[in-house]
Amino acid sequence: MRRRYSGRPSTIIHALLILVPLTLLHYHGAHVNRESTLSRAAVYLTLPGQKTMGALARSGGELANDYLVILGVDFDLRRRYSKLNKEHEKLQLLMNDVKRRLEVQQRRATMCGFTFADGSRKLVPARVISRSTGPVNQGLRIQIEAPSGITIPKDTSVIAYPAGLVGIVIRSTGNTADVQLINDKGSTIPAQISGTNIPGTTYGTGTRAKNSLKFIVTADHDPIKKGSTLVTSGHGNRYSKGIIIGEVTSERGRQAAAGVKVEYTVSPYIRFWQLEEVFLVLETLVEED
Amino acid sequence: MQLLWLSLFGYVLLALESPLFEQMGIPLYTPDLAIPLLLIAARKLEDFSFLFYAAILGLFIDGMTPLQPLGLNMERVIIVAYAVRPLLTALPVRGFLGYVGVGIILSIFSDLVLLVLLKLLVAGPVQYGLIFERMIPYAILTGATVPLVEALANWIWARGRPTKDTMFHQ
Repeated sequence: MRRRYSGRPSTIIHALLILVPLTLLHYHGAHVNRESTLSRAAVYLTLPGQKTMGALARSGGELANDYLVILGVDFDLRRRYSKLNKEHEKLQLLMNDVKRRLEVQQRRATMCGFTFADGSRKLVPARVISRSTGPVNQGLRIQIEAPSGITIPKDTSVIAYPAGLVGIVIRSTGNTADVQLINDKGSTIPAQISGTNIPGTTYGTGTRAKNSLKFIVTADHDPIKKGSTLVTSGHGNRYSKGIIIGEVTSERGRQAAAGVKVEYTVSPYIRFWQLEEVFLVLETLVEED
Repeated sequence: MQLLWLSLFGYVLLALESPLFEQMGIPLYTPDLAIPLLLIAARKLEDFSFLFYAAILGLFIDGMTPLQPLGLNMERVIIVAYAVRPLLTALPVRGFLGYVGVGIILSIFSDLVLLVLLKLLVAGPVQYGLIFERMIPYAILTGATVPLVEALANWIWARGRPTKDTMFHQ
C-alpha cells in the first residue's frame, strides 16, 4: 500500500537544508570577490524586482514630497518663501566655493599629468540599483544601461562626477556590478596628498564612523594641513590615478603604529547614500560576444 | 500554491524594503522582513514547505544585497525558521504586542546567528561592534513590522482568495 506523504521532512532533507547553504557560505565567504554560477543566478533572479521596486519607491517618494509641498502652501507661504530664499543664497555661495575648489584641483591634476584629468579614459554611466548598509559590507549594485553589450571588468574604479572616487568593482555579472565603497572596512586605497608628494594609504572605517576614512602616512613627512585634498596615487594599478578621494579634516595627525606612522581623518566629498548615478572609469570598452 | 504566493509576496516586499528606507533616510535600520514573513508562513505552510520557504527567502536576501556572500542569509533564515515553531508553541502569543515581542526575540536570535556565521565562515573585516550596537533598535523595528506585514498579507490574501460566489460563476 502506498504511504501518504505527511508533509514532515525526513532527516536527509533537514541535513540538506542546513548543509547546502553552509557549504555555499563556506565557499563564497572565503573571499569578498568569490562568485559562482549560483551567486550570479541569485543576482539575475532578484535584479528585475529590485529595479522595479526601486523605481517605484523613488517615484513614490517624489510624489509624497510634492504633495507635502502643495499642502504646506496654504499654511505659511511667506515664511517658507523667505526661508527657502535664504537657503538658496547659502547654497549658491556653497556651490560657487565648491566649483572654485574643483577647478583648482582640476588644474593641479592636469599639471601633475594625472591621466584622469586629461580625459583619456572612458567614463561609462551606470545607475545604482541597490545599496548594502549592514555590518558585513558597504557596497552598491550598479547597472550599465547604455550602450548595451558591455561587460564590467573587475577592479574598475567607480566615480561620481565631478566629486570623486566612489569605490571599486569587486564582482560583476554581465552589465551589473557590485562595488565596494571606499568607506567599507575592507577598502584599502593607495593615495597621496594632491600637489605634494606624500604617499600613503587610505582605509575605510565602515558605517559606524559615517562618512570618514583614515589616511595613514609615514611620520617622516611634514604635517599635512587641514583641508588638503587626497587623490589616488595609482600605485598597485588597482585604482586609476588622480581621482579625488576627499579632504583631510583633522587638525593634526594622530600617532599610529608606535609613532612610525601618522593617521589623519579624511572626509569624502561624496554622500554615498544619495548616489543615484555613477561612472565607471574604463581603460578600454570590453564588448560582450 | 500557498508557497508560491508567499514567495512572490516575500520577493516584492524584500525588493521594496531597501529603497523605501533609503527614501526615508534610515538605511541602517531597515527591518529584517524575513522574520515577519517567517511568522506568517509558519501558520500557513507545512513543515517541509515552511523550511523550503525559509531557504527561498534567504536566497532572495543574498541575491538582493550587494557584496553579500551567497549562503549567509540562507543559513541564517533557515536556522531562525527552525526556532519559529517551537517559540510559537512555547509562548502564548496573542494580540499586537505578542507578535511584536516574538518579532523582537527572533530578531535578536537572528543577529546572534549572523554573528556566529560571520565569525566562523566569512573572511575579511566585519563590524561586529555594529551588530551589537544596532541589535536592540533593529529588533524593536523588526518586531514592529510583524503586525504590519501580517495585516498586509491578510488583506491581500482575503482579496486574492476566490469566494463562494465567484467559484459558483466559474
